[in-house]
Amino acid sequence: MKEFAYRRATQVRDALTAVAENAGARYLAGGTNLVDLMKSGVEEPTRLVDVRQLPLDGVRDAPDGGLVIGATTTNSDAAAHPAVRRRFPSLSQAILAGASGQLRNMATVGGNLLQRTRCSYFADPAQPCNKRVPGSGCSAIAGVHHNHAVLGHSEHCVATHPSDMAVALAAFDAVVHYETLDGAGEIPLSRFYLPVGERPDRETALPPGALITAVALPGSAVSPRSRYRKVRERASYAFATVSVAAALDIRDGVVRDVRIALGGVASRPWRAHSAEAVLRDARPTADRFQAAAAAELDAAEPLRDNGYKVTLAQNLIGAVLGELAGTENDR
Amino acid sequence: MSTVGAARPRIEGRLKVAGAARYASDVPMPELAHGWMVTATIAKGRIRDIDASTALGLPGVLGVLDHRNAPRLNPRAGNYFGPDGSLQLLQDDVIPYAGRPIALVVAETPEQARAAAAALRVTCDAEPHDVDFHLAHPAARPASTAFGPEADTGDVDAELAAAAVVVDERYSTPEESHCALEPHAATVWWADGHVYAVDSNQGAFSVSEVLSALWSIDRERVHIRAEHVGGGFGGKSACGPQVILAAMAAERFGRPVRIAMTRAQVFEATASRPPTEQLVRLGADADGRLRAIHHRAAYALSPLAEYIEWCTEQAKILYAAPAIRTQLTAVPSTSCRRPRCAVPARRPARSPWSRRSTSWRSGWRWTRWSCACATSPRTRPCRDCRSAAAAWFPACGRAHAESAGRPGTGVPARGARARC
Amino acid sequence: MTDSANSEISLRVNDVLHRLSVDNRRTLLDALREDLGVTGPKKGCDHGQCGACTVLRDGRRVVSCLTLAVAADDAAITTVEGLAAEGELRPIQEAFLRLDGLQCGFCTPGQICSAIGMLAEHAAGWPSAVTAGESPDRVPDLDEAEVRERMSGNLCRCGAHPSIVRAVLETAVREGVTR
Repeated sequence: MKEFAYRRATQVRDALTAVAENAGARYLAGGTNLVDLMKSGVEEPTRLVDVRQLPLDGVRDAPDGGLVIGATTTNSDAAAHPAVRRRFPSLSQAILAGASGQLRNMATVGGNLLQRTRCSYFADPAQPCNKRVPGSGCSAIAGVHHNHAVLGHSEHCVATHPSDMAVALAAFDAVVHYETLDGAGEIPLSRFYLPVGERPDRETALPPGALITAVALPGSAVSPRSRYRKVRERASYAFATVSVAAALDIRDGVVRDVRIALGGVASRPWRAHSAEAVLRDARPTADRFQAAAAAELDAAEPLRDNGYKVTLAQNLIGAVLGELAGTENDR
Repeated sequence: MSTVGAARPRIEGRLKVAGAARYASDVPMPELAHGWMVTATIAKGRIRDIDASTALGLPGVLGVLDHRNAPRLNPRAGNYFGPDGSLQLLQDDVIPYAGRPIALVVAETPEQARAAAAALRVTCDAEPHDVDFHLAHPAARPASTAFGPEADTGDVDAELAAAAVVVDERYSTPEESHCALEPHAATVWWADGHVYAVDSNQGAFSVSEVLSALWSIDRERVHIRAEHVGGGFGGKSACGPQVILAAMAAERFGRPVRIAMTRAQVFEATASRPPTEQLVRLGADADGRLRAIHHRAAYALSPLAEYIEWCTEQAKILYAAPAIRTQLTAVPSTSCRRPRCAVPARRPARSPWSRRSTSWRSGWRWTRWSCACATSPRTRPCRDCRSAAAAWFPACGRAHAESAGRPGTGVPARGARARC
Repeated sequence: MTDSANSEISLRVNDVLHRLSVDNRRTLLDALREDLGVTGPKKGCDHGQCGACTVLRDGRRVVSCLTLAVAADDAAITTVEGLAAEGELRPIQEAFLRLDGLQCGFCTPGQICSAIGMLAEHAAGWPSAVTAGESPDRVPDLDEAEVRERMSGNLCRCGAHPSIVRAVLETAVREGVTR
C-alpha cells in the first residue's frame, strides 16, 4: 500500500472539496471493498476522505409511499429497518444474502453500489485486465470464468457485478442521488451502471468527484410482494452464481405488475424487461413463467464454461415467480 | 477416579478462549523488524534483474535480500528423500514456479516492508512451462520406492477375468491446499551463534534439523518453538519459507525478524497436496471376496525434490487378495512443453515426517532412495546423491550396495534407480 | 488537517484509553497487535474473509483487518482480552471451553467476539438470511440454522462448528434470549 493522507469530513461540502482538489483522492465509507483493493494493489489513493460520519444515514419515508435510504446507512441497518422489511422485503433479503454479519455492519449503502467486481484477475495486478489497465487484455475470457457473465459482456470484459442489494434496487427502479460542487443530481439505477462495451474501466455514470447521498425507492403496490433468492456454491457467505429479485402483483387472476432483476449474470444488475413484457397482463402460470424466463435468457452468450448459468437463471426465475404466485397474491 | 471417559477441557483451552495463547507472530520482541516476501509471477524462467533502488529509498527499509546477496545455504540440506531444492531460497536466478519467493524486503514496520516490496522492479525471462498433469504424461516416471517396492503378486489379469464382479474406474483428486487458518509465520533471532525461532510448524525437531543443515551448524545451536500453531493439516510439516527467510534476514540485519505470510503467499509458496489420477480395478467373487486389486496412480511432482504421495499404500497392505499389483507414478510438473495458462507448478506437500509407515521399521528399506536430481531413471549412482547421502545419512554409506533389488529379499528393483 | 501520511488517534481498547501515532495505512488489527500488544485478534486472511480478526467496535462486530486505525479514531474497541473480568470468563467463553468449541484456537478470539456481537444483533430483532418472512415486530427464534447463518463470517478450519453452535445456543438460552 502506498502512503496516503486521511481526512474525516463532517460536512458534505468539505468532503466534495477534499476530493475535488486532489486527483488521487477517494471517498472512504465502510472500507470493506476499498481497503481490500488497496491491500491488493488495485486501488492506490493518495488521499482518503472519510464520509462515514456525514449526516447521510437513516431511512425515511418518501411522500409517494416509498423510502429514501441515506448513503452512509450501514447494510445491517438498512436490512433490519422495519419499513424496508415491510415495504421492500426483497431488498432486506438481498442485503442479508450478501457478505457476513461483520461486513454488513461496516459496509454502507453507497459503498455497496460502488463495489468493484470480484473477478480474481481484476484483483491481481500481475494479470492482464482491461478493467484495471485499459487495453491490457481480459484474462478471464480464456481463463477461469465459470462464475462470470453470460449477458451484456464484451470481448473486453466478462466480469460480473457482485452486489445483491443493487439487484433488488434495480427491480424497484431505484434512483441514486448524489452531490457535486456544482450541485445535486440523480441517476436512475437503470442508467447508473454503464454497459461494458470497449471501456470496462468506466463503471458508473457518476460525474467525477460526486458523492452519493441517498438511494430513493419509489412507492409501488408491487414492492411488498417481493422476494430475493440467491444461488451460490455455498450455503452462506459467497457471491452469487445467479440471483433473482422479483416482485409480482396479481389481480383478478392477471399479472398487473411484475419486476424481475438478475444478479451474477452481467457487469451490472440485469433488469429482465423481456421477461416482464411476457408476463404483464398475462395469467401467472408456470408455463408463462418459463416462457418469460426463456425470452430473457435468449440473449445470453455463455462463455466456454458458464453455460450452466443460462439454465440456472431460467429455472430460478420460474421458481421465484412460482413462489410469489403461490402466496396470497391475488387481489 | 479414572481419567478415561471423563470430559476435560483442553489444558490450553483457557488461554485460547481468553486470547492469551501466543502464536508465531504474537510474541512480543524488542527491536523487531518485518520481512515481506516477493514472489515470482511467472511459472518458469530466470530472473534477469531485480532493481531495488526505489525500494531501498523508501522510509523504514533496512534492506533487500535476493539471490545476489543472500547467505549461501548448504545445497545438500533436505529431508528423508534427499536434498530438497525447495529449501534453497534466494540461491540462484531460477524461477521454478509462480509464487516462488525471489526476494525479501526488510523494514521497520510491515506497512513499510509491504510498500517497498511492491516497489521492487523484477524483470524475468519467461520460459515455456508445462503444468499439464495426467497419468500418461510424457514425463511420467515410476515413483521412488524408498518406502518399499510395488506390490506384484499373483496374476491380476487372470483373476479379473475369473471374477464375478469387476469394478474398473478412474478417479482424480485435485491439488489441495491445507488452508490452516493461521498463515505460516515465524519470528526469528540470532544470539551468540545460536538461532531461535518461534515458528508455526508441525515438527519443531525436523525444522531444527533442516535449519542446522542449511546453515551447517550443530543442531544444539538451533532452537525452534512451536507452542501454539493455528492449524497445519500437513501443510506445516515441512520447513517453511518463512523461517528460512526470517533466519537469513535476522542474521544479516542483526535484529529479530518476523515474517507473517499473506494468505495468497501461503497458497503459492508453501506445500500443497498434489493432484492425483488413479485407476482402480477390483475383481471379486459373487460373495464379495476380493480376487484382484490393481491400483495405478499418478501424482504431480515438483522438480525441486523427490517425494512419494502414498496413493497406493492401502492397496498394498489393507486387503487380502490372490493378485495385487500397484504402480505409482510421479509426473514432474515442468517439461518445457507448450505454454499453458499460468497455473503454478510447485513443490510437493507433506514431508514423510507427517506420517509413519510400517515400512520404516524394516531398517533396510530406507537406505534406498531416488536421486533427487534425476528426471529419468539412471543405472548408476549419481555422484551428487552419493555425496549428499554421506552428508545426510552417514551410516547409509556403509550399507549401500551396487546390486539391484532390496537387500536380502531377492525382489528386483522397479526400474533402474540411482542408488547411494 | 494536513496531508501527512501519519495521524494521531485515540482508541479506547478494553476500557483503556490509548493515544497512538499511526501510519494511515495501519489497520485497526495491526494497531491492536503491533502498537498495543493486544494479540487476541488474529490475521487469518487480512482481507475480511475469515473473521479471525473480529472485534467489537462501539458494540458492533466488525472485521478489524479492513478497518483503518485512523478511521477508528475515538472508537471504543472490545477484543477477546476485554471480556473476562478479574479472571472470570464470560459465559460465552466458558461455554466454548466446556463444550470444546475450538481446537487450534486461532479462530477462537474472533468467534467469541462475533458471537457476542451476533447475540446482541439478534436481541435487537435483526433478521438474517434464513429468517422466514416474519413480521419485523417479532424477534426471530435463535435456532441452529440461525446461528450458523449469523456466524457464517467466521471460518474454522479445524471443524469445531458443531461445538461452536452448541456453545452459542447454550449461552443464548442462559442469557434468556432464546426460548
